[in-house]
Amino acid sequence: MGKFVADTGLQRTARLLNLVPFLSTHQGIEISTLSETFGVTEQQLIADLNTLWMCGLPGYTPLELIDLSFDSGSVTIWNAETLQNPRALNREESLCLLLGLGYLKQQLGIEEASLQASIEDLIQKIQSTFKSAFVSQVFADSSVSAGLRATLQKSISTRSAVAITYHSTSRDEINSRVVRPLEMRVEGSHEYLFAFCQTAQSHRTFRLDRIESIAHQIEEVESVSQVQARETPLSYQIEIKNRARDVVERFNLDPSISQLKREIQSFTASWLVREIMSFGGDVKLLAPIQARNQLVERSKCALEGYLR
Amino acid sequence: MASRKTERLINLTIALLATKRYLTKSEIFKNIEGYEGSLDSKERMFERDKDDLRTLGIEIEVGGTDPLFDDEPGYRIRPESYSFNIGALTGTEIALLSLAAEAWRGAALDFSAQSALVKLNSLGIESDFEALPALAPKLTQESANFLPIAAAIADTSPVRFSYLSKSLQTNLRHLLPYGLGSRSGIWYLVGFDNDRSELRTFRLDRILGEVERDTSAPNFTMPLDFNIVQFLDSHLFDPSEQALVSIRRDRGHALRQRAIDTTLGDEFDLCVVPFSDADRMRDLILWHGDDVVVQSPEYLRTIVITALETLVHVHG
Repeated sequence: MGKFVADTGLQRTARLLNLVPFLSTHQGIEISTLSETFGVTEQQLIADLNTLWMCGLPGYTPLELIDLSFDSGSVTIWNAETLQNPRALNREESLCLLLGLGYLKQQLGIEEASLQASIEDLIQKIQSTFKSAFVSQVFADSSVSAGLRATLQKSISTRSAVAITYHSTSRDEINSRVVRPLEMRVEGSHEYLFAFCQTAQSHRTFRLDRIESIAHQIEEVESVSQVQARETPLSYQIEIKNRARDVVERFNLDPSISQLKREIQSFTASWLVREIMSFGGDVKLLAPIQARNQLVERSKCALEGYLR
Repeated sequence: MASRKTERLINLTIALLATKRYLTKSEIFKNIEGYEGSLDSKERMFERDKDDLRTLGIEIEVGGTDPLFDDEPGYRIRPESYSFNIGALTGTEIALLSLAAEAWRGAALDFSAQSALVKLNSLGIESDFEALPALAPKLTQESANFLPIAAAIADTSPVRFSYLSKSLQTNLRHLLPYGLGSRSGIWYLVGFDNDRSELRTFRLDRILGEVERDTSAPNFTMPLDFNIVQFLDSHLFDPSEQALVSIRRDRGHALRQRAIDTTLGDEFDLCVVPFSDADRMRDLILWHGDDVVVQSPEYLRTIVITALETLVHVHG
């Protein structure tokens, strides 16, 4: 196994070596499809093909050179037998497949025993090209079910609605909603669904790992013209007394600022009070006074539970 | 890189792959297009080209050309080591491998996922997605340090990096990287901390800047019994203790999800909740205010009460 490829200039050579076997099994492919597959512009791809055309076996007469035709917009290749087998997986590609397979295996249910066995077999095969036992050292998982994501993708592409049960942690509630999924995105280490919530009649964002169950909704979703405007967040003053890293991470603050008194934004006072309570005094809520009073009240109420 | 250099590298690869015997340097310079200038500059060109092909993962075999006169070494690339070969693959297996690569789209291994997919699609085996359930796997790791760390683990090479401490200080850490793994979307680097002489766990999102190879330290030997999954399970997520907590009806869902036993009551249900870290458990209980009351163990009850008293005192 070679080193991890760092020199991006060499990436072009690697791409050309991958291009030949791909063309050999995809004769007549459109240039546009090809450039998409390789993640380069059409212009770059044509430059690649022009370079390949100059390559071949020593002698470099038409008998030895790779022959390509791509004038018509579709690409055909001949006389490239020496390079026509795809190259061995490099270490990054092997790592990518090994981690992906391990993760896929966790996502399959027990009823998929034969697929699980196939995955295990593939892991062994790829692993055998490594000197060290890589699989026991690198491991990927996800808190989002791949089946859930597939259902959401389908619903986005077919513009259909789904019924979900959602754990709203900020309110400590589990509720059922009918939503029309619009888009999925990754922010930080979490994935989010942006959807029109029919139940709330407005656009909402849901964290994928908090969707507890999902089912296709057969009924037609009514189109809704009015969309609720987003409320503006309130700002709160806090003072970090201890566990600064935890505080910074919880409230998404800039860790490079060493200031202990900070301002944070929140849409709901009750969520903010709960979050600050969970720090057990390591964060002090300075203002506003109403929220501070609420915090003291809640703490006293909780203490009473221990006096009974 | 200039096209001429790319051309020469491809021509060299083709010639070394096609040959049945070792090619000597003079044969290479004479027959392969692109080697120009004085013998000295040809030699330098060839040395760089060999390094470049090795960087691309292409193994160049060096051997004698003549059993009687082994003074000049020869070069070749074995088709077996050059080609993709992990045994015969079925359409279902191609589909599984493709899904595995797709999981990395847009994440840290995006580039390699794409080239792996190209190679899989070049095999000329029709993938059979019908054989699989509807799955859309996605790994969200985007850290630029992911690959360098994985490479250092594979090479058993010590690393150093800046790490955000509990009090937001930046500390330089030296580590023998043993493993890299994720739990609930958070990635952990586990290794032997040379400064502290023990195994330590680091969160990838708390590493500041780049992870670098620590060239001042020698390569290490990977302990044979190290397993990242087992390590994370037993050190970070081992629910070795159980708390008995009263949870108000229709409340405390985060705790209820973890409960292994629930006895229904009138206003409060009684739940048995396993936990691994008492401080984290205390934080979670505090979050729920008067909806959750700890019954046992006694020490957990005490730290929750102390924290509530502190909250009143600090804000009163």
